[in-house]
Amino acid sequence: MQAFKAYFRILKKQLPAILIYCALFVGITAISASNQKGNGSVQFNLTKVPIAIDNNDTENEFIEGFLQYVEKYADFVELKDSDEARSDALFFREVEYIITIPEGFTEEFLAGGEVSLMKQSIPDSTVAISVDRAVNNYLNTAQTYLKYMPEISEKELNKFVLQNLSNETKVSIDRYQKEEKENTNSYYQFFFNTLAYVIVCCFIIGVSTVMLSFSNIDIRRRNLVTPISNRKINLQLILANFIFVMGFLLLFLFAGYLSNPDKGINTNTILFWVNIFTFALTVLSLSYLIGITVKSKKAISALSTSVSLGLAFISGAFVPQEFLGESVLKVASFTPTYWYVRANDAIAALTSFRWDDIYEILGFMAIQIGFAAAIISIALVVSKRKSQQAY
Amino acid sequence: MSFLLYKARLKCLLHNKENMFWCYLFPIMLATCFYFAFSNLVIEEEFATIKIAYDNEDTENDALKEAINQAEMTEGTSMFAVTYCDKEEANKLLNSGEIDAYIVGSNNPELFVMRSGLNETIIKAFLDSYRQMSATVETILKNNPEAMNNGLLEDVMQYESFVYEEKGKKNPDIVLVYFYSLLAFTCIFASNWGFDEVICIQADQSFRGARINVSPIHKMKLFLCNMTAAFTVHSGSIILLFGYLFFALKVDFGDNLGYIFITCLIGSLTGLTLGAAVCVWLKFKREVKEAILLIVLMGGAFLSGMMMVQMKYIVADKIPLLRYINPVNLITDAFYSLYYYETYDRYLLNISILGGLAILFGILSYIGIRRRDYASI
Repeated sequence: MQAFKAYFRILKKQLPAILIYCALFVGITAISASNQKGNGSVQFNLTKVPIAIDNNDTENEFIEGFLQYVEKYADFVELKDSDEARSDALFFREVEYIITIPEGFTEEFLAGGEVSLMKQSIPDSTVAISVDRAVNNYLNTAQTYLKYMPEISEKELNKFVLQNLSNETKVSIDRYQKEEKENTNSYYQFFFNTLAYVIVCCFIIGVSTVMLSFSNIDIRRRNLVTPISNRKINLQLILANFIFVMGFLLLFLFAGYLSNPDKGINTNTILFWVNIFTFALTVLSLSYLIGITVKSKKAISALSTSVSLGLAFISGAFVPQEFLGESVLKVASFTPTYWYVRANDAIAALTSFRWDDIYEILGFMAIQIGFAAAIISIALVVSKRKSQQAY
Repeated sequence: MSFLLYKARLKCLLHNKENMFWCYLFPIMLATCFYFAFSNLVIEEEFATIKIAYDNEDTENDALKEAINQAEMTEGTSMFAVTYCDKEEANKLLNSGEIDAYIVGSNNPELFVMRSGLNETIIKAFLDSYRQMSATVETILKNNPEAMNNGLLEDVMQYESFVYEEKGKKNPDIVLVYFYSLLAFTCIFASNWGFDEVICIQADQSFRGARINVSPIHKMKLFLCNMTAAFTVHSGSIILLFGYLFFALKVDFGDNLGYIFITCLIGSLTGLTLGAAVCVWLKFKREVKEAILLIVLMGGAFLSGMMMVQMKYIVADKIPLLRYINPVNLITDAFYSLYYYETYDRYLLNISILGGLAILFGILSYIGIRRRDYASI
């Protein structure tokens, strides 16, 4: 098993780089995971928009009542009291809507004058429309009261308006799947999609660097004169590659399990695992091909970064596929990562496991295997040519 | 003589394939990836007509149906696209994801949704306000029975808008920060070139450095020529990336291209001198120094929002000092303030600190390199 041992001895030197990627990935996933909101709750909750209020008017009962109503649809965020702080917060979505109440607003409004509030928002956004409605709803109702009951006091006005506006529609959640399984799945969907980037990057660095060392012409000549047959050396290398890949995968499956807040394993989870296994085989073949074609280590680092980032961005590993343009997805469908991510998304949405449901996902995995086979065939041709050149 | 040295170094740098790839091709590749991945994110925030289904028992006299059909999001864009069907059919549509919600009943409408979300909240708010109208009418009539004759119903149905967008504000397009920080990162990436220049000239760092030290050329003169050559080649990469972002990807940089250009050049200079200073003053093996520089660069890019846009805001909010000493953030913030703000105060602050850093790093490198002689290495 000399070749097998030599493989891991060379790999050990790449370990720091690979471990840095692993640690970075787990760290980023942990941060992002805390932002992952599962919406599998069986109870309906209003979605609140983060907003800021810049009140230049006096603090009075009318404004209080108004804000009390708006708070049903919005979360108030305290910001530093400067225009710059508010504009920055809006740009970076710390708040998505800023209301400026002008000086003398209450007095003017109660007197029936023409008044308006200034807003800063993301133009034409759904959030802006949600807050607009809440604000206008309150002020329109209050205006009607003022018109028909001119003697009404501020306190009474607030009471009536809030009373009327507390009249609510009954909302029920109606879906086939009522369990809170979605949380586990949405976490894994995110985790495994991002893993596509890390796997490609680490496998190319690991596998290609080792294979590069073995494909060096002097080493190959040296290996040819050993009493071990070429076939045996190759078999040992294949085994070593396979073990590296599996070890790496297990490490991540474990990390994924530990970092998942739900710690659940269901049929979906197992399908996720099968999918990442298929993908790993494809990436392994790709790394092997790169390893026997490139000529220098520097080229490997350039290739590993470009290939992994490029594939991850266009295939939806970072940004969900639904947000990508149609033409981007068309191009991406010529890469295995696209089919891997598609399978992941389909698995996450899976609620029943009849043959008809799983059939499509198995198809996506088969396409990945197809890619692996194609890449391996190219690698075999390249390697045959190289061995002929060696003499 | 100086020009000859400059030309020779220029050729040398252009032949360094690795550096050329990272500076010229990689940022363009990354910008393309950003463009494809993020260009739809803003569209995703934009409002689109909400798809709902409606099952009403009373088809004759249906005020709710009318209200739903008339509801508008903005002028000309209707709020709802309605499918009329029975509850069973609506349930199927909901679970297949074709609609966001369905409403049953016209007098006492009930809403069915699949999950909690913004669209669902808007539908509920709409139905609520519909119900609330009758409550308002009831309360007013109790207190003022004459109101009905004075046009109360019309007034209740009337919906006036009280909020107006502040004029002259730029669109807060968050995706721009990705491109700004990428350009800033590329500027500061010049530090790798500055780093190499010091390696090549210091006798204890490379054989070439040792060779140069015994040559009759003045070391500082050669170093300046080399740095100028590195600056020239690196500026080329920035102009290329900027041209690509501006003309091909149509990234909005505001109207002050001159200022943008100055920022890029000062940024590139800061990068060069930063790399040189790190290489001169850190006494480790080359690989370790390279790793430290890389961590500074990537960390700087991360903190200025290249990987996660909100990071830039979090840093500015929680650790304000860090935003002023991180050169990648200074450049990103300069681009951002040129785009987003009408005044130049913030831009000038950023650019002054950046220039200050460039001078500081330059002086540090000079002190470290000058008059360094070796009896033996």
